[in-house]
Amino acid sequence: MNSSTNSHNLRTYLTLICLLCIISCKSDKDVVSHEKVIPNGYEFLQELLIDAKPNSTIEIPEGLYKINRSLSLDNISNVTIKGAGKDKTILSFLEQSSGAEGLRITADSISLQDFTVADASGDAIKLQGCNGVDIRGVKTTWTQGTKSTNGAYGLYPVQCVGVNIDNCEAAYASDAGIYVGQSKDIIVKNCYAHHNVAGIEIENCINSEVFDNLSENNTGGLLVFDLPDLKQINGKGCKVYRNKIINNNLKNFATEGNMVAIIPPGSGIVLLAAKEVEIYENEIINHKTMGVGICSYHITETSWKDQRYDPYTYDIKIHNNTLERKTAIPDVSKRFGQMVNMLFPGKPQDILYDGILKDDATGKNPMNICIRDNKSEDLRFANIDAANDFENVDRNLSAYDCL
Amino acid sequence: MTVSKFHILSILLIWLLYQACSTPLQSTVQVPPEGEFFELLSEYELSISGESGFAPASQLIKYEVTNSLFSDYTSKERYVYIPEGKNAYLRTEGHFEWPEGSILVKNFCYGKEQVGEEKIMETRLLIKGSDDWRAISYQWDENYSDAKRSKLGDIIAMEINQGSEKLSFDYIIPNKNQCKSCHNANEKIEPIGFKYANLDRKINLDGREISQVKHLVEKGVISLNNEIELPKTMVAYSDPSADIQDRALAYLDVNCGHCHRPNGPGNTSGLYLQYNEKRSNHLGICKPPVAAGKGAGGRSFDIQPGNAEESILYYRMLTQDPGEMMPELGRSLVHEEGLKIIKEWIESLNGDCTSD
Repeated sequence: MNSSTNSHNLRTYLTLICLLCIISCKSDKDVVSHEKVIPNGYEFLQELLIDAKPNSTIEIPEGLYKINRSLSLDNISNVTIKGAGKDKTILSFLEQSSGAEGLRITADSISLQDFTVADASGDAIKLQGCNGVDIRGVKTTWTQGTKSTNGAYGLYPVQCVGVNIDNCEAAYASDAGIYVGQSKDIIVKNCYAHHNVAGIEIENCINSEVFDNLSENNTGGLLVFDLPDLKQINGKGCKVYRNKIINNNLKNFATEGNMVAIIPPGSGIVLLAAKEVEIYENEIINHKTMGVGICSYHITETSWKDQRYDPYTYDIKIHNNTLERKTAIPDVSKRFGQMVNMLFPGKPQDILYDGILKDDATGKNPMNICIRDNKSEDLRFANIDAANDFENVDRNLSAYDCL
Repeated sequence: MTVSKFHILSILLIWLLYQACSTPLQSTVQVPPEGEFFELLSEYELSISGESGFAPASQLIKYEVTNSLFSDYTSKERYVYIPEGKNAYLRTEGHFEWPEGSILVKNFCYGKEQVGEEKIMETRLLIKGSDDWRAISYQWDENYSDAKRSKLGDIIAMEINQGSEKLSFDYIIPNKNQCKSCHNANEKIEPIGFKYANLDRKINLDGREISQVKHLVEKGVISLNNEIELPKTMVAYSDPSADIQDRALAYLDVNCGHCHRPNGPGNTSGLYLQYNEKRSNHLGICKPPVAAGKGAGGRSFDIQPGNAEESILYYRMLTQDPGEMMPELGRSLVHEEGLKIIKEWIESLNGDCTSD
């Protein structure tokens, strides 16, 4: 009698512990698994990728493929690589001992569909110099939690033209989950980015649209950046609309030195040296540092030598968004967050503008920053006059009432 | 019974006659059709048949490069085959324009003192088609009787003696696609080491010291053009009497510059490591990383003048994590000798990286 009660209690206790564990583990670790494990995943898949014919489809049946080296598809155009679903076909690189990325694509008109790349030693899926990229239903993740040793990027098209990323999931990248760099004509839509340092990042790109995505639980939800000394610089033309950018307050776990390591936890959208960006009809909710940050490259306090580079942010429209702050103290772990705390102790901001102007700028709104019709209880805006040691912090929006 | 014996004898006789007639004194190098490779190395007839290991056919010309990519302490033997009556002519940027059917051969070897025997790990070929090069590796069998095409590459557990140390590591044979990770100019396969600046050196031939360029011209392998200004010859990075900056740039050129150049796949980073690169930002001095991820190692700049330990470039040569290390492919070990040169160079640089 007694012992049965004891064992019953013990069982309840253990169940409770397990439940707690599942709940707590689930919040900061991803799990990928499949009952069917294919041990020689590299040999099986790399052979298909080398022997692929143009205009063909490579079907990857369901299962967890253990892969110990980078996979690559090179110079074979119009190939579709298709899994059985992102929860069914899993390419696991946990045992990778060679190669800087999981899957590397250098081929035109590539289509990737319905599989997961997990635990790549570097970037999960890198596509370089591809003309025509279509990625649907693909997931990238790392399963050891939010670690600085995770790969930098999940989905990583660079120097591509015509990029369509649809209905994908990107998680636990130590830089950006979805990162499009130095590319042209880009669509990122219906994606889910979470537990990355940056959820979605558009960098040095021309003509991009980012819409209907959910970016939550990252350090920063969405970044539009432009950096110097690269082949394609002075990116422009980015529309960001109908996205849910929610609760991006995750600790910044990027390796120091990377640009993204400056992002303070609690950042919704950050623009850096961005031009011609329109941000509208987004829900930007529950951020402890800032909803939207508008910055010049100068804010990074690093120099550049590239004569072509334009470090300023201008021609920006921010309208018809819903902004709600998190009730919390702004981040203190990063210099940027410390600055917010110094200027506005304990008060998260909705829209923060560094106010750094070109030398020859004149007038009230020389960089053409337009902010209008955003829904917020009492919109907290500030031009912090960063170029003059925050001498004239201006909280008045009237100069920016344009479209 | 007797009939069958007679048959066998006659077949044997025919075979012997055939062998006698078809084996010329000089082998003839075979080039596979456009876009294809032979399954066996012996099919190219680059090596004299019947010999164990690689015995270069008479049409192969041996060559040396001043500076070589570090490949886990292998030594490399290089040969060039060029079709009769043709040659490779110098282009303005110091590389060569090759005739169709040319083959570059490279054996990756460990010596007796390293592994207790003379060991060929692989033989890599670059074959010039009508427009493009193609690249492949051949992996030798245990008896070194022949080598087989390695489409998917391989991982070979190795233990070598290097100096006073015993090093254990995975030797990686690249797959077909990975050859292009390094041999890549504008997304086309190109030779790397065979360039004027790296060939212009003295070589020892039959006990005489001669100019390699002159030798290659005399052998009809290359032709120079009076109208093209000859590129600056590279110093040997191992030469302690040379200027440290020249040594460092020579090292970086052959170990990194094949990707990190304006028309190479490392151009996404804007870091260009050519022997003749003068722009400090593109050399990485005070340059923040772009897509380094954990490879940044917590450091802020590719090169922090005066401080190798705080420089990402140095860190990525030092690490053995596949997601961090540079080059991305081609080594499992750290090249201590190269590291020393880069350290000395970075520490000789002046300046600081604070923004003005």
